Amino acid sequence: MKARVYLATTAGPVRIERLTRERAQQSAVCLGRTTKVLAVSAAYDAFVRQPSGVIEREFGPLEPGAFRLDVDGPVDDGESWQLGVFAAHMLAKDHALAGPDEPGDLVIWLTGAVHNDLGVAPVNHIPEKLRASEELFAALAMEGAKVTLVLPPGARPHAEAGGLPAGFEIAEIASTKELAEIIGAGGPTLTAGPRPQEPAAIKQGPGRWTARLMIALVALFLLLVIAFQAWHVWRAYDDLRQVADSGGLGDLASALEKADRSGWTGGLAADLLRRDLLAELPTARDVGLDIRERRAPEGKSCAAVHFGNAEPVLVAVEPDPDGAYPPSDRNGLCGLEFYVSTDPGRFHAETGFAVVSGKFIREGAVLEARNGPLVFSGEMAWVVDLPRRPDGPFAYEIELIASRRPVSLDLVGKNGLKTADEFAGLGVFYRSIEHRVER
Amino acid sequence: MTTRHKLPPAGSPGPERQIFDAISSLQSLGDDRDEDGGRKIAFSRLYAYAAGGDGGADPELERILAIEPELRRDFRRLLGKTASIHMPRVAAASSGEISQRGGGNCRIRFEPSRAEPDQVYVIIEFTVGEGGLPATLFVCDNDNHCDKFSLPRGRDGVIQLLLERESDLLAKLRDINTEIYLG
Repeated sequence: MKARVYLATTAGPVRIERLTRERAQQSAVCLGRTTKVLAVSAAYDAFVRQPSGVIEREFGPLEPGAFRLDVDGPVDDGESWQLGVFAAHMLAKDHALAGPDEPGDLVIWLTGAVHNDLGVAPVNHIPEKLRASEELFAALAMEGAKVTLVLPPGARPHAEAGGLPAGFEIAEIASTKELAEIIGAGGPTLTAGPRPQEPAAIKQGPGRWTARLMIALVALFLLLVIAFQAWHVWRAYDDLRQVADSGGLGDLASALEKADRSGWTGGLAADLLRRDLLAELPTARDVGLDIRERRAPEGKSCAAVHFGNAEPVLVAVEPDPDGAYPPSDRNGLCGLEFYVSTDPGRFHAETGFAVVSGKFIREGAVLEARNGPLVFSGEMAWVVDLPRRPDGPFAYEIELIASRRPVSLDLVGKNGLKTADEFAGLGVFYRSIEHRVER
Repeated sequence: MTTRHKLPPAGSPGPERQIFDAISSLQSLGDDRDEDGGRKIAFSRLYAYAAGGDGGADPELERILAIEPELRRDFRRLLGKTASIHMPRVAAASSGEISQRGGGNCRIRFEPSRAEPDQVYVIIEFTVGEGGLPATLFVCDNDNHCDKFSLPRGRDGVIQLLLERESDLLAKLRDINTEIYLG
C-alpha cells in the first residue's frame, strides 16, 4: 500500500516524488530529480539533523549520510512544508511513499509546522493554498482517488468552506502521532510492528461451531506467530542489507554484532546476510595489483627515462611466499609503476597510495604526500619517478579494497577492521602492502 | 624649506615599505601590457574579479583572459595572493577517477548520488572555523586558464554541491592536473 504526498503551497500543490538516503553531508531538496537544489534545503537539513531536527531523532538510527528529497515544484522557505515532509519520511521508512509514476492507494495533502515535541502548529494562507490546489482536487476526484487533507488545529473551517469534492476527508491534527493513525487507516503500515490482522471469523463470533472454530483459531494464531517471526527476520535482514549497501563497513560490523545479540530472529538474519556477503566476495583473481621497477636501460641514465627519451627496463616486483614485498635496490632505479585491474562492471574498487617516507617526482617537481593517502576508484595505473639524490629510503603503502557493493577506503580505518579475513566476513576483498626502496 | 622624512630602519621592512611594494606590484599587474599594444586591464578590475564573489562577474574580462596568456599568468599570481585556500595538483598520476583531493585545511570528496546515478555530490569540508567560508571557487589548468564558480552558502564547515556527472566543473575538479583556489 502506497500513498502520494502533496505539500500545500500558495503557488499550487507540490508532490514529493522520492526520498533517498545519500552519502552526502547535508540534506537537500531537489527540483524534478535534477541537480537544482532549492533554497529551502538549509531549513530541511535543520529539520532533519539532530540535535535540533526531528527526523533523525524519530526515524533513526540511520546509516551515515543525509537525505535527498525530490519534489516536482518549488517550495518556499517557511515552515508549512514540515508536516508533509514528516509524513513522507514516515511513509518512506516503510517503503510506502508512492513514486512519481505510482498512483498510490491514498493521496494526502498536507500543510502545517512540526515542533520539536512533534506538536503540529498552525500556518498561514490556508485558503490560498486550497484555491491553488483546486485543479489537483478536481483531477483526483475524477480519478476516484481516496484523498485526505491533513491540517493543523483550527484550519478545518477553511477546508469545509472551500467546497471540496465529495468523498474528500479532512483531518485536523495537533500531533504527528495522529498523522500516523490517519495514514495508517488509509493503508500503509507505519508503525514498527505489523498491524493486527483480524480474520472475519473472529469478528463474527464463535457461533455454534465452537470446537472447530477454536481449532481454526489456534491454527490461525500459530500461523500468525510464524508469519510474525518470519516478518521480523525479513525486516532485520532488510535493515542489515541497507547498512551493507551503504558501504559503511564499521557500521555493518557493528550492526551484525548487534543483530547476533538481539535474539534468534536477529541472529538468523545476520547469518543469512553473512552467507550472501560471502557469496559476493571478490577473489584475488578478480583484483590484480602489479608493481614494476623502472630501471635505466644500458648506456642511458634515469634522466633520459624521466624525460621520455629512453624506454625503461621493467622488472616486476614479486611478493615472497608470505605475501611480503622485498625491498627494491635504489641503484639504477628510476621509478616505480603500478597497475590495479578489476572488472568495473562487476566490482567497485578503490586504491589508496600513501608515501610513508622519502620523496618522488611528478612532471619535474619533487613531491611528497602531505595530504594523506591518494584515493582512486576503479581500474588505474600510475607512475612514481624517484629523485636522483634521495634524502633517505622511499617507502609507501597501498591499500586495495573491492566489493560488489559500493565501498570506500574513506570508511576504512574508522572501524577497527584490520585483517583481510575481517573484511572478507563483510563481503569485501582487502589487501594491504608495504614496500620500500633502499640502497 | 626642506621637509625631512624619517627613513625606516635597515633590516626588516616596515609597514611603509610593505605598502610601497604592494602598490608597485599591483601597478605592474595592471600596466605592463599597454606598451605592446595589448589591452590594458586595471588592477582593480582584476582584483574585483578574483575576490568579488558573485558581484565580481565580468564576462568581458573572461574573454580577454582567454586570449592573453600573460594576463592569465598575472591573474593566477593574484589568485595565489587573494584566495584563502589553495589546493595544489593531486600529487600522483592515475588513469582512474579520484574520489577526493585535499590541501590547505580543506578536503573535497566526490560522492555519487544513489537516487540519480548521473549526479555526484561534491562535498567541500573545511577544517578551520566557519568564520568565513569561501563564496567563490576557481579551477585553473596548466595554461593558467581559470574558471570561476560561485559556491552556495556553507553550513557547519561544509559546502555541498550537486553536479551532473558529465558537468564541466566536475571534470575540472576531478582532474589531477588542475589547481583549486577558494576565496
